Amino acid sequence: MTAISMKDLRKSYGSLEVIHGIDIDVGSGEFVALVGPSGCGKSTLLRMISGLEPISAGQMNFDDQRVNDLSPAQRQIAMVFQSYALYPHMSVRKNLSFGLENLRMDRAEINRRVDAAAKMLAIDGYLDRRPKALSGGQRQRVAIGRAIVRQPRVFLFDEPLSNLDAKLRVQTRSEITKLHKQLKTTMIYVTHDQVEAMTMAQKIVVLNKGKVEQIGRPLDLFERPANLFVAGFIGSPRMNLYPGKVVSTGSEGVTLDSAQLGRFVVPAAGIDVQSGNDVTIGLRPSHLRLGSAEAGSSGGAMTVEQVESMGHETFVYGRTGQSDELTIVHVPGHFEAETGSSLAFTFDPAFAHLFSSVDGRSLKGARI
Amino acid sequence: MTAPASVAPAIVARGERIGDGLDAVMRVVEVPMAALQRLLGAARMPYVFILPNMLLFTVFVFVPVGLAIAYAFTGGTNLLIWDRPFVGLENFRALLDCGSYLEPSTCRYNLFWTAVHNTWWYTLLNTLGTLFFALVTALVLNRLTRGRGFFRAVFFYPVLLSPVVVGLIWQWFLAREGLLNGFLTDWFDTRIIFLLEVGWSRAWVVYVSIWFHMGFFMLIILAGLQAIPRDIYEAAEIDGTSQWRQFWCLTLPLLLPNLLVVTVLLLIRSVQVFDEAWVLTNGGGPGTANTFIVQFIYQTAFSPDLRLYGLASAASVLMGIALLVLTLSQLWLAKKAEV
Repeated sequence: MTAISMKDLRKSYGSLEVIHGIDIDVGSGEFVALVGPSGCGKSTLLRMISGLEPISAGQMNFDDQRVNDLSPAQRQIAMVFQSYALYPHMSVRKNLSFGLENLRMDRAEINRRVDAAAKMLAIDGYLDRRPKALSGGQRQRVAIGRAIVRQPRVFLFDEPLSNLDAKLRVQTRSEITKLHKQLKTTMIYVTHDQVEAMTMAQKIVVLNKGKVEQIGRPLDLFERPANLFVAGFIGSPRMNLYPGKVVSTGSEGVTLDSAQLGRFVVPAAGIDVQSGNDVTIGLRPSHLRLGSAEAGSSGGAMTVEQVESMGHETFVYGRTGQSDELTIVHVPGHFEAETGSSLAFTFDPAFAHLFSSVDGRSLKGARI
Repeated sequence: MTAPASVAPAIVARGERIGDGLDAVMRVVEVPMAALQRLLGAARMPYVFILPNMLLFTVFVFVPVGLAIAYAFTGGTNLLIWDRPFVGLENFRALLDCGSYLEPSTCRYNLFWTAVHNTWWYTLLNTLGTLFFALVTALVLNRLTRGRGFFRAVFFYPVLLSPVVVGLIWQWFLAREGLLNGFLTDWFDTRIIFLLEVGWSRAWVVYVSIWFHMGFFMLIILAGLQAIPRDIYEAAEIDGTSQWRQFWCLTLPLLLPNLLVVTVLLLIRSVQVFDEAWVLTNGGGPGTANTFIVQFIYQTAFSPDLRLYGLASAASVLMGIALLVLTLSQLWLAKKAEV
């Protein structure tokens, strides 16, 4: 098991800097997900960890060893690629054993490791097939098997599930999680799918434009996003955001006024705002309820634009006032509403998130 | 500022006019084609569409091939086939009449077997040489991050030249008073009669052919190299694979389909060698050192004192059979090597 530490890590292509001084600590045996939108630098960062991409500045350590200038093989990492990167002209067995043959390992030991990995991943029936004769899921398992047999210090996954269908993705997701529990090896997993990150990782690093936006446990990121970017990125559907103004602050909390939500009090102490400040109010769709406001809750009204029913849950999209942004309400079970009809919604102000309208940072003391 | 706004509608209007014109043409064509389809049925319509090309192919390929085969069974020096006597397999028997196929002087038509021997050695050296240099050049170009397009063009440029021009250029370069000998005289006070010495002339024929054709085959190999996914090499790098093992275990096997195509094209082209070698060596010299099969066929058929059309056709048929075997071998190997 290996701990990884990245200090002020930078990557430049000529004069263009794409990774701007990243500091991340990955604990020994930890499962960390790097998430962010396309082009945020997560794959570049993973390739820098692997050694496939040279580090322009900063320091990367595996335990106490500086690895900046070590080759991928010297770092003893294994990587599972998005495209699987299997050797197409070799059998599954040869794909698994190829890396071990480079180490001039004893043939009996190679066979033992290959057979063990194949059994663990349930690909022992396909060892003599070539990759083209396998399904996407089987190819993915072979790619994981190729990583396992080398018994690496660190596993790196670069969006390994993005080529699989939805059902297989769920299945492979749980297989990788199980694998981590079994092997207890440090794993770094790149994905743009926040559901994968939330369900698999022990720690999530949210990246945006080559910078870390927030690092934390999945639920921390969901419940206490550090800024508007994380609030919008983590959680599906996205958080509802409304412009608002601070009316007053007091011991009972912060009184806010919003054109869409009316006047209400957020019951939290120590919020860094003053009367008259402009703020952005964030409410998760799951924290909105359809119906008129009762005592202790606040609410608004929306004109229904779209209803998405999944059977066990429904998302109602509606327009509130003159806002361009649609309000999304999560309704458990099946729900029907006519497009254009008016619906009232309510929420508990305690669940409201507050963000600075100036720089988007959370005003409720999120941890970065 | 108003120009782009006024140009765009003009372009759209012109596009619409072209579209309308095509529609009108299609409406005119549609009527007889629909009638033809009703007459023949939909299943036969594809044959109607390939008929024009098949007619051209028949006139310029099938008929000449058929005529060559027919001529191979006739004798005499008359040009028109109906004036020529049928001799059965006599031409083939004459060509294949040999004491030992390894010793052309024991053959009835020793020039044919000299040409076969010369062509065999030329084919072997030219194929291996071109394949080697094309592969090495493609590997180097594939690694270049800058100037790849420039060097690709530099190596491809000779392919655009006419074979006669290539022959003439190198003849001037290698002649007794040529550029190379001028250099050798000035610097080493020596002179080599490259095109009149058997060994040198054969070597230069092969070299010129490699120089001439390498760019084309290099492009095929380069395209194959660029089609190999980069992440396979990255996976190999992570696996700790050495550069040599990457080349041997990944590049070569994945490039095999391209190498097979190149090899067979090279074999076919080598067997068909004629024009640039003919010009370079002034008709296959010194002596018969650079006389190849196609030159034998040409001279046998069209030299004023020979005009043995039947014998030349028989030699053509034998060469055609050899090429057919090579092509079928390629198809078989390509199928076997399919990844």
